[in-house]
Amino acid sequence: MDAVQFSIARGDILGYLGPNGSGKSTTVKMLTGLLEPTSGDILFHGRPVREDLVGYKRAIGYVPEEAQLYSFLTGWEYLELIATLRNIPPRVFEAKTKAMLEAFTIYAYRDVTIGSYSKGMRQRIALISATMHNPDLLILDEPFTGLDVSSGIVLRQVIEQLAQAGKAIFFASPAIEVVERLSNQLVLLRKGKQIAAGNMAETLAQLGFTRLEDAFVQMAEQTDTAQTARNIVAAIEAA
Amino acid sequence: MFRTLVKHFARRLVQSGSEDSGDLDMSLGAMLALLASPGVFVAIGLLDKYSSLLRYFRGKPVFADHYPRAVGDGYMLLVFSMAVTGLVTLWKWDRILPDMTDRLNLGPLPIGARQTFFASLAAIGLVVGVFIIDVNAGSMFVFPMVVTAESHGIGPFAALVLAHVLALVLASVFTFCLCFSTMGLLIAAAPPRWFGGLSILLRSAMGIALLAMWMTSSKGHVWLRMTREGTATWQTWYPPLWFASLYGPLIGREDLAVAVLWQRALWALLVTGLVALAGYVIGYRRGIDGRLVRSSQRRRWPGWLLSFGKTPLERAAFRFSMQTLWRSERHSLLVIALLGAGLVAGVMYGDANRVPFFAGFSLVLAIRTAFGVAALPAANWPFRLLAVVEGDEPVRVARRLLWLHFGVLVVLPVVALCPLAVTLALVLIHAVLIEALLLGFRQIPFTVRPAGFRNTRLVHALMALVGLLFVPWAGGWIAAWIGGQPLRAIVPLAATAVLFYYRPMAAEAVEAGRARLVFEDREEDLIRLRL
Repeated sequence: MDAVQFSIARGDILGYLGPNGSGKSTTVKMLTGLLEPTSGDILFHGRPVREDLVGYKRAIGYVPEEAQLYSFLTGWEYLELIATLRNIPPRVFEAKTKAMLEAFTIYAYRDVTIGSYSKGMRQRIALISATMHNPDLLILDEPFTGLDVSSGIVLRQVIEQLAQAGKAIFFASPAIEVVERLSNQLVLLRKGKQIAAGNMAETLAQLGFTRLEDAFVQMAEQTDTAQTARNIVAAIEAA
Repeated sequence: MFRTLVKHFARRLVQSGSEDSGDLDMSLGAMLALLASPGVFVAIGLLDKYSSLLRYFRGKPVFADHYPRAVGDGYMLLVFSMAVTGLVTLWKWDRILPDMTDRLNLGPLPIGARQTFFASLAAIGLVVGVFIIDVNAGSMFVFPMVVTAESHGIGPFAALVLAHVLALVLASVFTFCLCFSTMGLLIAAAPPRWFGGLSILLRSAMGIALLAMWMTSSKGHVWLRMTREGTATWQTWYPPLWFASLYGPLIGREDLAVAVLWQRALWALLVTGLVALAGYVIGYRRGIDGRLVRSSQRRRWPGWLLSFGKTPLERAAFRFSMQTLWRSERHSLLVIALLGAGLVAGVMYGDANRVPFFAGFSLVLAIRTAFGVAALPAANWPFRLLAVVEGDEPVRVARRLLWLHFGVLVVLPVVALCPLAVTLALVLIHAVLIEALLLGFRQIPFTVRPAGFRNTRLVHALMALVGLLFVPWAGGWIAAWIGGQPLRAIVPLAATAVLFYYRPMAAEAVEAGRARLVFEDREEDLIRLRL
């Protein structure tokens, strides 16, 4: 990553957009403390997070790109493990988790091992584990992966309502339409470098685009997508 | 098409197991090489017995008749083959049945149901065949060569090769069918929600029985003689002896075999083969139809059992470790297998007072070894994200787990059944052992494989073997010494207290300058140059 600079205020939803390999997940790992930046700083409430990494981690929630969860634990056991790590009292955990599992329609599967969950169910468990402690900053790495339509709509509304409630949300995704619909802040990446950042509408206007998709294709991807599509169709139809 | 399907199913059978298997699965090549070696070494080792040159130098008389001894030695190789085949079948049996993945991938393809079924069956036959030949490849020819080295002509050698190969293959196929048919019966009979637990119990019991069979293989000479002399009792119902009885008729020595035994072998093979086939049909239909063979429904652990610990990390790590040890099938099987091996070794040793030491040592070592077998390392990110080490939580968690299991499974029965001196010696020697095993322990159990584990596992295995010989010997000696004069208990108590006094210093020396908690399988540099 090189010369990446952005900020998220309370109530902001920052869309972090870039093609595959542009450095989205690396940024996420740095933001979550899983990877240490070789240079530069991540500030939380104006202070470098390395000064109090533990306090910072208490305030964040994280949904990874692919929900790698322990397959031999049940959904409930996994959430109980995270709650214990986060020092959430058992009574609070039980009430919260029950409500969240019901809302995400997987309460009936709470005592089933994660190994038999679908990708969407795992993703929902990861979402609950990231939010059960009421974090100030929510870091979402492609959170809509594997979710069915209704769960996706619910999650989108949850993100919006959390932002309205004053949470800061960092949202990395390759899905342009979701980023465009949800985010009010935008960071556009290409090969580890930031090519645009700021308020969504203003940034698009500055770049001379009206739609995020056009900006992404021309600035970040820099590929002739129409030509690529034509090549694929030609290959499919070839005798 | 059929060949492609057979190839696909065969590859599926030999590929790694479930996703929580961690380091317990090894590559096919490594496994085949490892399994092929003991047979060759045992067969070559028999030169010591059969070589006329060596016997000449030792001044021992020439054997009048090699064959009675040869059948006894063949029995040892046969039992090894049966044990290995059975253990691998029990370990990998869930890969044998097709599952939802097969249904999802093969279902939409234009392939007939019968073709898929027979391809799957053919693949099992192929893999089992290759496996049995691999395990016995060395001994199949080396053993007859060693035994018939003094014979004239190729006739005796060829006859013994035929007898040995047939006995080995039939015995191994029988063991495979027996293990698989037992699991098939369980699938058919057990309620889905009980299947997971019952499967682990049954496989553990069968695994321990196979280990016991293997470890008693040196008694084969005696038992075979008893069957020939008509003095055998339960031995006539012992399957390895049925198959060892096949040597007699096959090498043309009716006097070395009891007809009823080798006939029993053939009947047993037929019956288990048919039951295994029926079990496979049931399992295949359930798997391919998408009806789960195993229930993924689990009962929760009682909260009080998992809530030990002062800090959030300690409580979470203990909860996770307990659940991994007994929820992850591979981890629980590893612990039970090593405990079983220790118990069998203890019982074979013959001294009742030393059995607890064998069992205790193998249990403690098994759990400590299992700590280093990571369960889904990619899933340890919540710990990496949230773990805050405030003291020596990883060591405390590991110590608590070891003592909990050692206390419940070994000490409690010993308190009830053995003299107080044995209990005292057992507790003291294991207290020292546990502390020694936890020196430099810097991981949350099951979250990461220790750095450099692959390079040092042979050393660990050798140390374990030495320990298995030393701990029961030392423990038994201390127990006997205290038993003679109870006041002597002061000496081992004082020695243990001294060792515990110096433990923090030893830990400091081992852990000096190293991270308190590790999450990556990365070897640390022994020497780091800063230029």
